Amino acid sequence: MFITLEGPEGSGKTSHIPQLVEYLCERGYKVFPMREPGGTSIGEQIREVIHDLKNVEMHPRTETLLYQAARAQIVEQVIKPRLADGEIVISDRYYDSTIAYQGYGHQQNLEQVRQLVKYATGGLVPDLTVLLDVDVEEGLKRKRKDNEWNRLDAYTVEFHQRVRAGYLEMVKAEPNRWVVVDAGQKWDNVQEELRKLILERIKK
Amino acid sequence: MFITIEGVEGSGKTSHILPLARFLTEKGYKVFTTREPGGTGISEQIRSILHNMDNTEMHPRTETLLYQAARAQVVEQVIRPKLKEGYIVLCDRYVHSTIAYQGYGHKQDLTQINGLIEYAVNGLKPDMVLLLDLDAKIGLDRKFGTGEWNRLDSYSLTFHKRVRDGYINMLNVDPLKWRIINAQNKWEMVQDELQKHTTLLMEHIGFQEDIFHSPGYPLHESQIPASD
Repeated sequence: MFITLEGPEGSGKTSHIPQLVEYLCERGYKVFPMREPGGTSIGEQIREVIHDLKNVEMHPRTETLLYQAARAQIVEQVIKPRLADGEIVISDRYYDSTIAYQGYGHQQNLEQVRQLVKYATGGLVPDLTVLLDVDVEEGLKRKRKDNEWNRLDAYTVEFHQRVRAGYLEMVKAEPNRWVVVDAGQKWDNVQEELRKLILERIKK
Repeated sequence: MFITIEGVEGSGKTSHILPLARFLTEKGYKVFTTREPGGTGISEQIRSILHNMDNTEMHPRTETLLYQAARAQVVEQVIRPKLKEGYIVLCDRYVHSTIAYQGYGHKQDLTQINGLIEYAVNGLKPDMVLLLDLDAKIGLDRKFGTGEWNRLDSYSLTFHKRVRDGYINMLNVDPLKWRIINAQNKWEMVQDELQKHTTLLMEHIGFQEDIFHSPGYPLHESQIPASD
């Protein structure tokens, strides 16, 4: 079972994963949490290049390709072997992030971006994708407060609004794969909703 | 004018670029040299990931994508601006390396590879490709002797043979754009040939960027196949 969490900056994805994993482990499932673009040694090296604040002159197509490189590695080195062993893999972001950020946010050619991610993933699609949806300004405010500011967050508010709109469009296009959770609620409520819907999906 | 130099490992590409650039500069051209993967701070960071001997578990698709990332950056940050300013840009490896190594060497789908390249370079094609052709075994022996061994060189000899055959295929498909130079010859002879090909291109087609980069630019007569 392959589950991915998506959402704009500050939606809290990353903060929810540890307890979600603990919860599922307690119920006897073998769970493997991971994040993009890291998760492998090569992926972490790529992550450093992407998030390096010195690299302000990075072209959007370069950024996209770096994400794809890290992804190809993690798919082959981590995700596919774990899934083959029957584990639940929970990923903090996956290719929908690329479509949202590069396709919708940077307004690159959507068809080209989709082809790229298909090459990178070798066609591996998640079984379930959860969108933690949050108002853009609220999300950015949270991140600033947490001091987790990186190069990507320095894009304009309009950029992040396009990203969010992109996510919502993707949900509409593939309603069977996506579930939307309101990340504007209290943290505990979000966690509870996540637990419920994931457990339901696993048992199905 | 955008000129790329291609060839298998150990063909001597890198040793020829600077002397060739010096030669062209002395003839009065503005010349800029760069290399792939590399040529910008970001691309050099990517290069060091690619060449890191510890990264043995790198998947072929990861490798391909890293090359494209470095390429997109150098194209936008360096090559396009320099061409616009009227420079001759000499590039040590470009898109044909990807087709040769990833397409032919790793046997990835050539159509997919071409799609990726198209995304990375956004239409920027070289005006001339100089192929330093060399038997794969001789090339590897040369490189092994110099201590310039990197992760990529440790692929098998059959891999490097497929790469060389790939280059020859590309040359046969687009013979007007490619020049083949026997890299087994003495260094001076090879350099001399590189200088000749470059001079011919510059003197006969001239430096008319706008004409050259539009489709259907006039060919030099030596490039028009004889009608028998």
